[in-house]
Amino acid sequence: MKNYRKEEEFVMDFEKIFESYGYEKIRLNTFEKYDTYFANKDIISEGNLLKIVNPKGDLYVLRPDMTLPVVKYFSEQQANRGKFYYSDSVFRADKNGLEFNERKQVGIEYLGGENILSDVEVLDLAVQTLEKLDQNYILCLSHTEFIKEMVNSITGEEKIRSQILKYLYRRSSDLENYLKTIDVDDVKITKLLQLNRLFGSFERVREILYDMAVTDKQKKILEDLETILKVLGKKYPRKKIEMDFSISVALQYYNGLIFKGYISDIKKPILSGGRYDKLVTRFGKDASALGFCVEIDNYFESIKKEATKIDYLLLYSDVENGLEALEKAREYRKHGKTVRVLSEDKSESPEELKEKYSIIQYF
Amino acid sequence: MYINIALPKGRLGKKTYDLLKKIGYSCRELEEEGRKLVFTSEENQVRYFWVKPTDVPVYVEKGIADIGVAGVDVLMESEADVYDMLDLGFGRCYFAIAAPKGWKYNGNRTIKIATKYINYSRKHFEKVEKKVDLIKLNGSVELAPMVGLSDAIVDIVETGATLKENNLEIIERLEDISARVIVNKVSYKFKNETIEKILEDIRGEL
Repeated sequence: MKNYRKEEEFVMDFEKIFESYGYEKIRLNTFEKYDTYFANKDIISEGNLLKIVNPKGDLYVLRPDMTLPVVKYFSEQQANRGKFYYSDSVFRADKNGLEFNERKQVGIEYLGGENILSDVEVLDLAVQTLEKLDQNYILCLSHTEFIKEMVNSITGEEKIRSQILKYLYRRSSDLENYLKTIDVDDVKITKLLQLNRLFGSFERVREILYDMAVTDKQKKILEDLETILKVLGKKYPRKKIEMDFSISVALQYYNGLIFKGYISDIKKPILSGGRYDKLVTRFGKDASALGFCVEIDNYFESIKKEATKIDYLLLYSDVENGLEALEKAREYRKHGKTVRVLSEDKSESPEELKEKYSIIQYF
Repeated sequence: MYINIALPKGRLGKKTYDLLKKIGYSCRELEEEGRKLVFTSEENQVRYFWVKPTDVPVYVEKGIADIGVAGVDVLMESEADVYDMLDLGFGRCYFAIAAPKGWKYNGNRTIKIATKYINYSRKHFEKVEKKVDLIKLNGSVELAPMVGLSDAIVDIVETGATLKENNLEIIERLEDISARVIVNKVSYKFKNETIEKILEDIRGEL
């Protein structure tokens, strides 16, 4: 069984970290107008939304993520800066639209940060969150604008661009042949293949990165990244933060730094985030926006943590002995112990009971 | 640290194992005949899973295996979220649409397509905006047009001999297929050096 108690403790630990950085807890509507998502369907895929119709016939959706509601909330506020955290459910249909599920997410949004110091803070929090989950973690960084500059230099055609991005997402061995068939010059092919294969700490791949950078914009991106990572490098082992341009294809949504966090026992990303200024602009506010969320269900579904045991199980054979057991239980509880009193039955074997209770007594 | 490898049962799996053996991942247990499905070599720090070809992407996507070998046909049909990092160059064939000789597609009528590759076909016909009824079969797909179960088929073609024998001809040649080394996306990050070394050594042997 899932250890719900443990899950809550984890979430509380995260919340304490976020609060210590001055983030405010926020709780928002589960239902959002369908129009809000539809208006932004070019950057948010609206195919997997769960829709609800109210009695008047208005269409609503169960929120598929927390970021958009937070941004919407922020855009209605006076302040130009906001730091929020949430721990709530999101709802999605699967890719075939036949099944749907509720997933718990814990995360932060840093709105209105001025410069790269906000990147440092958010990445720092991401690493602290990962550390809390497992010491054996890796945070992978990528940058949407760096990739876009590269892909856009090859073609203006949207179809080809998106095909190249798909290859990069799979680190596909087909990329080279594809680029050759569309007549890309050799220098550009070499650079894209480098991007396709790149993985490693910034220090290790530094030379390749600067070699790939053609435009001034790309160089600036790398310089900023290097500064950010230098600051983080003082605090965390460098091998834990890796450059990896294959972590996302959702480049319409993000504009800038993107990152994903992993722990070795779980074969899915456990944390993901990035910069999404454009979304904020759509809601009429000109502010930078950066955040991440932890897919807490991915963690607890995969990790088989030992369930917390109950201290005492008192088993009684008849009512008279039961009363005695109740008396004893009261005494134990006074000493802060957890006690369960049950009548004896054979539905659970002694071994099964031993897994759940530290001490078993018979009355 | 063990490396876990999913191999497809059959010729492709055997060929890949020979390659892996050459680069230092032999496993004595696997070479002994038997009914086992998991083989371990402590000496070479490798564990092999011997699975149905169509299941390889599942084992790799879920991370039970760190790497695996699968044909592009299996990969495209499974839509597994994995890295497709190395073309082994063997097991070459291609996807094709085939129909009885002389069959003509007329107008906007919905065509009936029999295939083992439902996901792949759905995507293809959505892309070219043609209306089709897909009929999922598990084998002997060539029979379907002959007995009136479908108008045409989508299948993989190696030499075209089977099509010819059943009086079918290729209407359109689609994606090329070959065997690929696929890699779990998270394993790639945590076992990066080992996996990169394996890929590099295999490239050296091709």
